[in-house]
Formats: sequence, C-alpha cells, structure tokens
Amino acid sequence: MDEGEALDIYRKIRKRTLFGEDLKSFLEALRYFTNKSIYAEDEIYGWEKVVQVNLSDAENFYVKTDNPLNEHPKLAVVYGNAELPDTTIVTDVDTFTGIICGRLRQGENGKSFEIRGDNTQSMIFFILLMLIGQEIWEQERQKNQ
Amino acid sequence: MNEHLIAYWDFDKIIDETYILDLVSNTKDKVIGYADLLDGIKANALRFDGYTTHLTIPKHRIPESLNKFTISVWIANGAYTWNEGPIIENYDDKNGFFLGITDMGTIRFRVQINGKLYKVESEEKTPLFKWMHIVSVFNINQGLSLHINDDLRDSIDFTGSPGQVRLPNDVCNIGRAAKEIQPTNGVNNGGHFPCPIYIDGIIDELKFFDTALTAEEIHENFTKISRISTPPLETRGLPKISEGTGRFGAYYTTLKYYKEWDRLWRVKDHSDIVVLFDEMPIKYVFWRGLNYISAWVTGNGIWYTNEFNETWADKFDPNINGCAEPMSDKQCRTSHVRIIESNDARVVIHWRYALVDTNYRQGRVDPLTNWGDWSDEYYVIYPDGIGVRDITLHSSQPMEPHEFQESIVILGEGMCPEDAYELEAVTFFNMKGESYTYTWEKFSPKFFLAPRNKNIEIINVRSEQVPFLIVPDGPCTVAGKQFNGKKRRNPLFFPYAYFVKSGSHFPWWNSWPVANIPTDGRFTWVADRPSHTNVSSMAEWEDYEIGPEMRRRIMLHGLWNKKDKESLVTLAKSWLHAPKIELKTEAFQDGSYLPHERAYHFTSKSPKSMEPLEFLVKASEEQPLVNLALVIQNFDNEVTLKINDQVVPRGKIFRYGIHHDLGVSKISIWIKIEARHPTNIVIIPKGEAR
Repeated sequence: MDEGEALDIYRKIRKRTLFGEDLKSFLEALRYFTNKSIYAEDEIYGWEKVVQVNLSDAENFYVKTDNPLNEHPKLAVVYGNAELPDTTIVTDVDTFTGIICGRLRQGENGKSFEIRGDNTQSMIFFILLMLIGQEIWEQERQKNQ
Repeated sequence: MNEHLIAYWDFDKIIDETYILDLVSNTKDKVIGYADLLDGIKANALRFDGYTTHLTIPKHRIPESLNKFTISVWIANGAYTWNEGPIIENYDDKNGFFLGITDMGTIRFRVQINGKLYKVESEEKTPLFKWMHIVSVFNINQGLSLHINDDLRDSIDFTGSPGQVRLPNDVCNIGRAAKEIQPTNGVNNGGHFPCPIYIDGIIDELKFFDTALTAEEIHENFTKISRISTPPLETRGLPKISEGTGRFGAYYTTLKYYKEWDRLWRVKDHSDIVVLFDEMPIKYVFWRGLNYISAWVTGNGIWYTNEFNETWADKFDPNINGCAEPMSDKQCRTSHVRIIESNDARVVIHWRYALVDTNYRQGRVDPLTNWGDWSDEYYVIYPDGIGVRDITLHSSQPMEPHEFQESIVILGEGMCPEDAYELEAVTFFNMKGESYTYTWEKFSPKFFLAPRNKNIEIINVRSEQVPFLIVPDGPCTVAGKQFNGKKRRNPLFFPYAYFVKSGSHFPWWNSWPVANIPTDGRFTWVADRPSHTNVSSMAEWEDYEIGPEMRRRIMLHGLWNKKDKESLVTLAKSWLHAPKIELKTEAFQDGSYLPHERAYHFTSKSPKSMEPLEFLVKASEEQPLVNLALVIQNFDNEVTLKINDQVVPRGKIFRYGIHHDLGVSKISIWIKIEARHPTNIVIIPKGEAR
C-alpha cells in the first residue's frame, strides 16, 4: 500500500463511508500509518496483547505487536485465529467497519458487536486512528502555514 | 379581575416563624426548609434557596378541574434548575399543569389533559439576577400562552376543546418538584441519580386566577409595578480570598461562598486552607466546595487543579456507580485536609480521601479487611509558587485501573471555558527543550503527538501566570483503564477529546464543584453555576514507589510566568536531575535529594552541635540549581547563610523556619538562587550551644 491509497482509506473513515469491502484495505492502511509513525511506535511499544476479530461473513483476523519491547516494534495484522487472544470481537464485516468509522454505534440497528475478554484492548483500533488522524491533520496544518 | 383570584401569596411576612399567608383564603402555608424574606418587587419576597425551600399547598384551595386559569408571578433566578423545576405545579403522567424554569433557563408552561401534552416555552434562556414578570394562561376555548414582562413569548391555539385541566395530586408544589427526577445531561448514567429539583431564586406576588387574563389585564398587572430594582441575590463566582497579611504560609480559614450554600455546611472557622505567597498574587486553595481537591489560583482568579485518584467499577467490584473519586464526596465525609508544616521557607499540607461513588460506596473494598481505596496526598509548597504533589494510593489492587491526573480548570458562575483558556490551550515541552502547542480552534486534538518524550505540560489560561506540571520522563506502567498494565517508554498525556458539545470548544461540566446533586458527571452549556472544564486526562508517568497495597507517584506543579515557558525545562532538570552534593562538614550527614519534597535532607549528628553545615552543590548546565530547599533534621537553631563566601541576610532570598515534630526538631530552609556552576553553601548556627 502506498501513501495515496492509505490516505484514500483514511478519507473514507473521515466521511464514515468505510464498508465491508474496504476491510482489507483498511487493515493495510492501519498497518501502513502505524508502522511509519514514531508516535504510533511509542503507543504500540509494550502492547503485548492480541485482539482477535471474528467476522461472520469475512475472514477472521487478529492484531498484535511484533516484538513489543524492541526499539522499533511493528503492528502486525494476521488473518486467521490467534491461539490465546486477550480480546475477541465477534461481529460481521459491515458492522465492524461501520463502528470503526463511526457510522454505527455498538448495539445500534440490532447489529451484533460483542467484545469478549478484556474489552479495553479493543480500543487499540480507535487509539491508533485518533493518533493517525491527528498526525495527518498536523501535517496538513504545517503544509498550509 | 381580583374576583377571580383564588390564591395569592405576596410573601411579605413570615408568620409564626415558618408560615406564609395565602391572602385569598387567609390560610397559613408552611415554608419547608430555610425561609428568608428579601426585598421583593413589592415589599418582601421569598428566597427559594435551591436546596431546601419549598411549599406544598393542599389541592382543595384550587378547583379540581379548570376551564381557564392564569398564573402570575415575579421571579429572579439565582441559577437554573437541574431539571425542570416548578414555580408551581400539580401534575402526573396524564393530567395537571406545570409552570417553572428549565435546566437551560427557559420558562416552561405545560398542561396535560387526558394524557395529551400542551406546552409553551420561552425560546431563549431568561436572565440570572434580574426580576421578570411571568404570566401563563390556559383557556379551554382558546389555547395556552406565556408572557414575560408583558411580552407574549409563546402561544398555541386549540382547534377544538382539549377538555378541562384536572389536578391529580393532593398538593400543589411551589419551589420543588413533587418527585425526585434525574438531572438532565448526565454523562454516565451509572453514577447519575434522581434527586429533588428546587428553584434557586426569589419569588414574589404569586397569584392564581380561575380565569384567563386578557392581554390588557396582563399589561395592567405588569405596569402596576413602577420601579423594578435589582434583586438582592448574591452573585457567586468562586470564593474571594483575602490577601491576608501578605506573608507566605498556609492558613486555616472558612471561605465564604454565598449564604444559602454556606449555611448547609456543618463546619466552624477552620474548615478550609489557603496558601498565600508574598512575591506573587497567586494562591493555593483547599476548599470544601471543591471537596478539598486543591487548586492553584492565578492572580486574576482562574482556578486550576491536577485532580486526584479515581477508579471505576470492574469485575472486582461491579457495583460501583460510575466513578469512585473525591469529587463524589459532596459533604467531605472522608475528604480532609490539614497543615503539617507552615513557615517562612515552605508549607506542607496533607490531604486524605476515600475513593467513593456518588452513593458513598467505596471503591475496591477488600472483603478480607473491609478496607477500600484511600489516598494520601502531600503537597510541599515553596515561596516560588512551585510545589510537589506526592500521591499515595492505598488499595488492595493498586495496579488495577486508577487515575492520577487530569488538567482541570474550575470556573465560577458566569464563566465559560473560553473565558479561562486560550484556544491554543496546551503547550508541551520535553527535556531537550522541544515544544509544541495544541489548538482547540477547529476541534479538540484527538491525540498529543509532538514533542516526543514530553514530560512538561502547560495549560495556557488567560492569565500572566499559567499552571504547569512536570513528571519524570522515564518509562512507566499504565495505571489507567485503557491498556492498564502496559509498559511505556515515556510518559503519556492524553487530550480530553470526549464529550465536547456544541457551545464550547472544550468539555464543560457542572457536576462539580459545589453541586450537591448525586452525579459524577453532568454536561452544561450554560454558565449559571460553577463548573469545570478539562484539556487533558489520564496522564501516565513513572511510579515513585509500588507496594503490595500502595502505588505512589509524584509530580512538580505550580504557576509559572506565561512569557517564560522555556525556562520550565531548566526547572525540570533541577528537579529530575538535581545536582549532587559534596558534604564538607563532619558534624552532619546525608545530603540526599528527595524529589518528593524538592529538597536536600541533612541530619545533624548532635542536636547540640554549633558546627556550621557546609556543602558544595555541584550544579551544571545539565544539573542546574533552581532555588534550593534544605531540611536539616535534629536541628533547632537560628541560622545565617553564606553563598560562595558572601553573607546573605534573612529575607525574601533566604528564608527558614524551625519546626518541632514529635521527638525531633528540624529546620526548613529555602534559598532563592539559580546556578549552573558549583556553588558553596554554609549554614551557620547562631547563638549559644544548647
């Protein structure tokens, strides 16, 4: 994924138009932005948890940090099932992407979005998105100055 | 029109200590709660204190069913209501009427007829501290109307007859809602409970007619009052703090807020503590209205706090209602504060509190010992307006989610967040001197990025002095709810980006201070009450000490010259990398630097010794000296000072105080000095050996 493609995905999130068909691109963009940001590196440093996402209508995946205590840890997105996830989100792909971009809220429209285990770890997606959003905004602000 | 008057309270006299006369029926109606008469629109009026004052009027004095009625009243608001609060009401889910004030300051008149609601309401909020004449009219053949100061504000016309207004309850309520209602705008409904809703203001000339007054009659009623004065309500703001003697030190006092709030408190003359400074117009305050959560006060009266320990319900204790924190201890049942030391050189204050929810349920109560979460905080404060906050959380689960810091500005009534903050509200520095300022102009920052490894936060309030905090810049373990237990390689500062509602750039709440409603969070959009606003929360930094039942963190904080923010980096170095000491005297030992006191500690080997204490402070660019605090244990003498062989007279540059603890005496010394080179200090005892 290149910068342009990643930004296209980010714009979809901003416009709340991220849908199920965008899932793979979203995960690529999340990994792309996270792994190029020194600030994101500070956030995934020490994050030794695994968040599993089980989708009823798409391939399951999980996120974790590779070498979380190394100097330059990296976010990993792996398709399939983790052995011992700390948190498991169970939903469908449109609900997942809808919640990620803010189009849907948990428990809205009768869509199921269940978090099992340590639900605070599921915030990793939103923390990274807030960080990425702020970084993009700061870059634009500096460009415009 | 007077022939249609069926009830009339002029509130001119209190009879038999607690009764007000209904002039139509000549019946005495009991005022429940505090009953104060103030100057009214005509003779006297009744102060409804917002906490206790109300009347319940037996229904039989008003017909059970009404084809037409008019309520006329003069009122001055002291504050709006927590939910709609009645001037007068008698209603249930299906029938009745309500005339009152809403939480947004509008006037609402509604009737319910056989389950159908008809409502008129003023569009804009009504003023505080100003008399207004309100008339509400119901006419079965016409409709509903609401008039304020002879001006028709809202009306609805009936297309057919809706039926009579029937009064369902045995009493009409004046000044308090019949049943407990949840305040509006709750943030966390787990910690937000129903409570009595009172009117806070003055009411005069309350009249109930069994007819629909015409516009001409309303005009005539209004113009009968020829002179409308300013209502004698106290504005509140935040307590005004006397400059006192202008001497640095901590002082017990009982701060005056306003009469109706003050008299609820069962306290005497020493319930609060104020720290005064002699070289700056700033203060540090522990006030019961803040539940003793301490606040720096700038020269122009902006109050700021770094918060407290907080925890939440979790699997260990799922029954906590929302947050468990001292903010919820509305009567300061567990929150107490005391002066440990106060002299020319420094002040030490101890604040102890339990982490409780709004129902006084304590967090994380250990079933084995029955002890829940408590915190002890020590504040060591020096004459330069800088203090150490030393926080010890006592818990059976010290590593489970707890919060240690938020950056909170406290606002008096009449202020909104923008009156206190610059829109470029927060600046960060790291130890390299790199900085970044975040703006709230377009929206709240979602994340604080630059500078990396930041450990200095400055809150840019509209004042010459701005609050700051400095924390250790090393690795830490997350204490908060989010990613609890995660290792970090640097501190974390997180913007309070949640709960920003229209009307302000910043989150804004009036659940605290002062408010006595059972809530741990209530948004506000109006400045009718004291409130608070946050720019950051959940700061994480290195633990100072961890034990099986405790977790301790320290921070440096205070107020600083807004035009000289960069020099905070030097201050941070002086605290985090304090220069080493080379002790040159046999008669003393130690010389270690205690960051939690921002002071070097020495011990005299003999309390009778008259030997001078001499030492070299090995200050440098990277280990600078920014004001020198010393504590010499086992010492009870007046002293003189030499710096690099120069005598420094006692005064604002060189201060000390002798303090006697149980079993030992000590001297605290503070020297105003800045040095980046080795500096020789000699403390010479005066007088005869003891």
